[in-house]
Amino acid sequence: MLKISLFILSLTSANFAFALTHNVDTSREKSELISEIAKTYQASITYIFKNQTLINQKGGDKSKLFGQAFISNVKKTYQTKFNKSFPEQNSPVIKSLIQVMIEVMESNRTLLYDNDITFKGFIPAIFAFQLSEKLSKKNLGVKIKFTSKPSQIRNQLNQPDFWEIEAMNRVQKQKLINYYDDQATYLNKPAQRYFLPVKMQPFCLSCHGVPANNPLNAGKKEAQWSNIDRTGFPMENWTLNDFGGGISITLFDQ
Amino acid sequence: MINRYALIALTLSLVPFKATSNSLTVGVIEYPPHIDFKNNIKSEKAYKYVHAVLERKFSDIKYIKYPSKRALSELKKGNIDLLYPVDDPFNKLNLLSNAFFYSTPGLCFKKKNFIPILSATHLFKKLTVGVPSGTKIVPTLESSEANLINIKGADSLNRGIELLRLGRLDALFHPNPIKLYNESNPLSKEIACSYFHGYSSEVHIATKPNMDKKTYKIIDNAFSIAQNETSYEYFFTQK
Repeated sequence: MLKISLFILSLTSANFAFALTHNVDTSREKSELISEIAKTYQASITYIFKNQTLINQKGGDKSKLFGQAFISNVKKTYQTKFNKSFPEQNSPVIKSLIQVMIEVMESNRTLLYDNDITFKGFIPAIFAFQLSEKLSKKNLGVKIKFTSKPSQIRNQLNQPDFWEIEAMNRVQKQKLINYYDDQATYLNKPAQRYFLPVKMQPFCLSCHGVPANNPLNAGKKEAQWSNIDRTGFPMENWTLNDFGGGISITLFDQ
Repeated sequence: MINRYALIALTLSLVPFKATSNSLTVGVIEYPPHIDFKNNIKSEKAYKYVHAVLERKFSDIKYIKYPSKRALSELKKGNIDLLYPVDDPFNKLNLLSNAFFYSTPGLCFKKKNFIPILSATHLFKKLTVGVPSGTKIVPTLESSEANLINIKGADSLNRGIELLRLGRLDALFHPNPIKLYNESNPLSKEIACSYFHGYSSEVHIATKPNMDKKTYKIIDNAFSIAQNETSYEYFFTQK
């Protein structure tokens, strides 16, 4: 009887150990996946920023903004930014994210080639929003959002939820490089959530900085400077030391 | 590099080949840039995608081009089996379970008045914005300080475009501006549109009301498999 009990106990322990290891592996995989999604998303936003001149210029070859050429450049940006190769063996979510990038660029083709419009408004935040919206339609159980503190949000559709506000507070107080929560919920369902803060960059200040940063004021006397940026919003007078918001990613079971 | 032909082949390989002897009549509505009646529809990507899926299941497929009102009437009468691409803002049609693609509403302007980012709703103050009758406007426009003008009549959208061109409107709300603002439309030389991102809606393939369950299932499964592997929206981006 004792032998049988010990045998059952050992089996249970083995199963428990297996389940624990499996859970740890799965959790690590999810954490790595969510971090890769954030990096890929961030690399694409950076590439859009770096090409603002090309985007807004009249005429010229804009082919590197479309199709596989765009993706190759996003991968190069990823490599430069994170000092490692873009992972080629990637998940269905990242494959879909890449496809969606191509779809977003293509859906803006007419605007990007419109020579009569000097400022096209195809800024990183707008690209990021379109990417998130299209990805959310793919039913992959992933949601990406570029968000910030409630008082800093321009597009009200990007308002943070409670978890995101908490994550931003923790990141700021504890000076975290990211925040991962595998015990979170999303719409009352278990979810893994991740927040990657984005440092304020000089390019952010051309819209969010002080009037001296506003490209529309270039060459004008200070008395003629406007605090309205190119997108039509009042500038916020932020500096490089201000909080720049971040990328929020949610993975959930559908 | 994945090209269009590889994508078609890939999509087809995932749809089990079992052509039946059944025939199918498919109504097609003009929906630039996906379906443009100025071109041979067989050269349009929306046609190629749909046909590639259907020809695996049906041996005899007939396509008929219709103006949208007539098409909806023929579908309701059961004279056509499928109709695409079709908007269904008021949920009146029988549809396949997956959206064919998505459309985003927006505002169209004469280029000199172009507003690129529509979340900047404070810029709508005092703008006269035409809203074609029967269109569902987005909440951000509704709650803005724009002066909304209802454009009545059967052809209210085209009338709105004319009013915009004449300078009698500052902007025109369009449920689907890509139909207007695309490279193949000459109007894009004087008019540009921007989008209310975050308010996209589904564009569908609709079925006739009395389609038998078995046929519906065959068609619906075939499109679900194809869309899961290569979405039409991605297929559309391929040269």
